[in-house]
Amino acid sequence: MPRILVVEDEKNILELVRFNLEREGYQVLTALDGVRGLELARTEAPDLILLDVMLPEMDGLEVCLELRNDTMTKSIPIIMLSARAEELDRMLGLEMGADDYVTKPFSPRELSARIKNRLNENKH
Amino acid sequence: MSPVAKPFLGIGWRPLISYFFLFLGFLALAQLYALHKPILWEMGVVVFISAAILAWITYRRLINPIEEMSSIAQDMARGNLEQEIRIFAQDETGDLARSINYLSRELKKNIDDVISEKNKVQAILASMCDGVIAMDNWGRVILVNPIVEKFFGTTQEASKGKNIRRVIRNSDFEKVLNQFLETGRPVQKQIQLMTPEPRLFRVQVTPLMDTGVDGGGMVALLRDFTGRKKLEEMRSEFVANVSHELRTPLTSIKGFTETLLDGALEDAQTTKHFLEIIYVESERLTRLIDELLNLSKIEDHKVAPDWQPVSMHELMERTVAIFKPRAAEKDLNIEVVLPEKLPMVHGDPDMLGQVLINLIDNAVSYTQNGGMIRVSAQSSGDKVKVEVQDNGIGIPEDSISRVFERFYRVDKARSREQGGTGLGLSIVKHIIDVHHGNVQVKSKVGEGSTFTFELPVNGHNTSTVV
Repeated sequence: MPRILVVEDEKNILELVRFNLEREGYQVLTALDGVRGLELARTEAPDLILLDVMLPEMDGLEVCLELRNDTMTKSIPIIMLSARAEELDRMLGLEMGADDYVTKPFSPRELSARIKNRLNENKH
Repeated sequence: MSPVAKPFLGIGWRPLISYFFLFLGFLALAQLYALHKPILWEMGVVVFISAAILAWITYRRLINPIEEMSSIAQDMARGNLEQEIRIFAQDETGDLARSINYLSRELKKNIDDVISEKNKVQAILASMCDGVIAMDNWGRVILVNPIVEKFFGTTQEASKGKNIRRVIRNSDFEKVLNQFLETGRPVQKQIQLMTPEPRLFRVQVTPLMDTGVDGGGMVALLRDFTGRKKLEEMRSEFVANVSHELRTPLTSIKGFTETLLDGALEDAQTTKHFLEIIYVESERLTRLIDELLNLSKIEDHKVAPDWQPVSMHELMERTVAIFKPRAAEKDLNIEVVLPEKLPMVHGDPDMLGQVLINLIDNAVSYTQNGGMIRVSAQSSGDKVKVEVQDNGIGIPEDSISRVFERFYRVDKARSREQGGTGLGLSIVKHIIDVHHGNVQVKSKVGEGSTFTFELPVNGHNTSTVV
């Protein structure tokens, strides 16, 4: 079963995502800050990363850039999560090499659908 | 127009009398000639003397005054209009002198009018907060006002007659001018200048009419936009922050509700847990909205404080009592230290109560179990100093200067756990500002924090015994 890394500093949202993903049958890894998230991405090589933008220590965009510059993690699909819905953020997220973008508040069902799409695309 | 000096009409009495005497002289000479038939040389002497007398009279009457007038007129032409010709003769020369004096007075008045008009215009230009540049159609400077001098480090003298493109070296500004010259229509644009210092201007170029300059000219109005832009940025950042703060609890509420509807309801334990989260998050949302409204009311001065003498003594006792149960839960020792006499302060009791609640709430939230909180007050001069001290976790040095910022949290996760909105201290700062007081913080990680605020004593109110 695919393994998904969720990097999110809001504990309740982390629990929400974890519960829904586990119900779908995914294996879920979690990190509460950017540095820990980057570390887990490198050591655990997950199949997909859900990355919040506003994170302590190192923000989501920096983490995204680091992941893209590392040959080990370059091809892992990244879906950004953010409460900042502005167009600029969207641009930044995609220019930084993210594959998709979900704004808060999101629907867990929609998030699952997007994750499924990314994982399928990556198989081909 | 002042009345014209009355012109002297006819011939003055002095020339009449002198002509009369001259006539008498000739008459006498004619009689003498008839009686004695004098020899020719005697005649010559008499004629010579008569001619000399005539010449002297003419010199006194005409040439001298005309010479004087001519020299004064030349002086006037050089700009000295203060003097007058002092000839009061009631004849043609006196008349001429008066006319010249009148001319010079009128000229001086007109020049003074022009100068005072010019000074008025200069004063208006100087007191404008926008930069003004007047140019001819080749871009040569006719006039710049002091604001332009200040922004671009130039002077009226140095820039006058120079091409503006050499005074303000900026391609955007040049483009605006060129666009105006091509179309002849007013142009308005925002430009950024990097030198001498980074500034943002809104430039407006309009035609200049009736300059007396060939081919007309143009006026550029430069409005400094730097401060306003910063304000706009702060505003939009605040809106983005608010949006983020509102969306975060909403994400949990929406997400968990949907999860429950999608089937998680079947497990009673999970359902209860999720409902609890939904409840907590909706509480947080409510608190956030309340505090935002509070803050905006204080900031916009929408609510006038209900000014009255406030006893900090009473307020502190009452507020601490509210926190007693929560402090007991955490086994915190909370003490109030007050002097026997404390002057009343000038303030709004509800607002000041809010300050104490926010500060004590923070102290309770960020002090470990078994810790100590000390709330004290003392009077110092015409101020009352209040201190809320704890021996809790403290604030890192690099965060101290930012704790009063809206939505700034030293430890986000911890603040969330405590139900903080990130607005508490910002509200404290605003209320104290409204009260013309000041608030400070001293803190060391692991040792605790001390928040101190000072409030002005209520007028000349006597101390209250408590």
